[in-house]
Amino acid sequence: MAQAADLDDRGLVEALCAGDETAFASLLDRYHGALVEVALRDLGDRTAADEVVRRVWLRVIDQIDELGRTDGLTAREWLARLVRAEVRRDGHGRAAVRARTSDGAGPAVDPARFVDVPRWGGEWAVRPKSWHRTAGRRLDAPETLASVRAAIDALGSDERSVYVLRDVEGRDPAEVSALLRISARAQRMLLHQARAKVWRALEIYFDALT
Amino acid sequence: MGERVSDDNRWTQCREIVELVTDYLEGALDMAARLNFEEHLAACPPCRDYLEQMRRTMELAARLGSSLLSPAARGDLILAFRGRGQR
Repeated sequence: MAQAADLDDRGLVEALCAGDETAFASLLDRYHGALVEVALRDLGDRTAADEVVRRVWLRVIDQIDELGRTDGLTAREWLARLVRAEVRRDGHGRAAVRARTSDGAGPAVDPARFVDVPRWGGEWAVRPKSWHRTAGRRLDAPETLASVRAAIDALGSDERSVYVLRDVEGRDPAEVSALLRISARAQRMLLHQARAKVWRALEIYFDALT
Repeated sequence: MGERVSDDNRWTQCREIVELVTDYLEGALDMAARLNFEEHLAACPPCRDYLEQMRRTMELAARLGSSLLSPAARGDLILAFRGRGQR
């Protein structure tokens, strides 16, 4: 168990080729969430994304004998490729209506929060309220986490994918850029917009507690 | 170009500073921009609060963890793996 969990990406593929069940379980644990985000970004629908990724895992099981021919591809690249292929197979129609939002243009924090008069402009007009005073011990409460979850679910699909992969799953920037096939700069812009929205949702939540 | 913003002007920057928070946390600011950012923060409590709250938000998000694959769905896939070649 522990051995497969410790294997790096390439080692996992090799173990999988050899029919190692723990390697398969490790792949599931390591990549399922990320693959759902990859699918969700294109499909915009959670149920459809879950189904696509479930089919990809079954495809992986069917194609284990071909795995030896993924030369050069890491498990991550190979899996993300399978997900995209499955999305294309599944989601032509839906891809057109996916909820793409902000491309990063415009300020992430509401400009109305800042003084807007010449010479003094730009200073906070409505400052962030202290969360320690207003929230006290509730900072870590389950309801607080639920409000974070709700804020994430309200994000547009591009922002959501980046946010979940980076801040929820803790994946590193290079991996996220590779998974979503976006530049480091685009990733930062989406992350910035998403973080500001989740922060704002928490601010509203804590404010309501006072 | 390249001129330091005077201290008298630091309050004019909050609106811009908050838009640099992610670049700052990602280490994407060049040295001059980073110093300017940190100088502003040293003198601006609300911007410090904002950065601190952003870090708190990230900690809370990290605590959600990825829990997308239900134990039942995971179990089904493991069973499918065991039964491969028999289908």
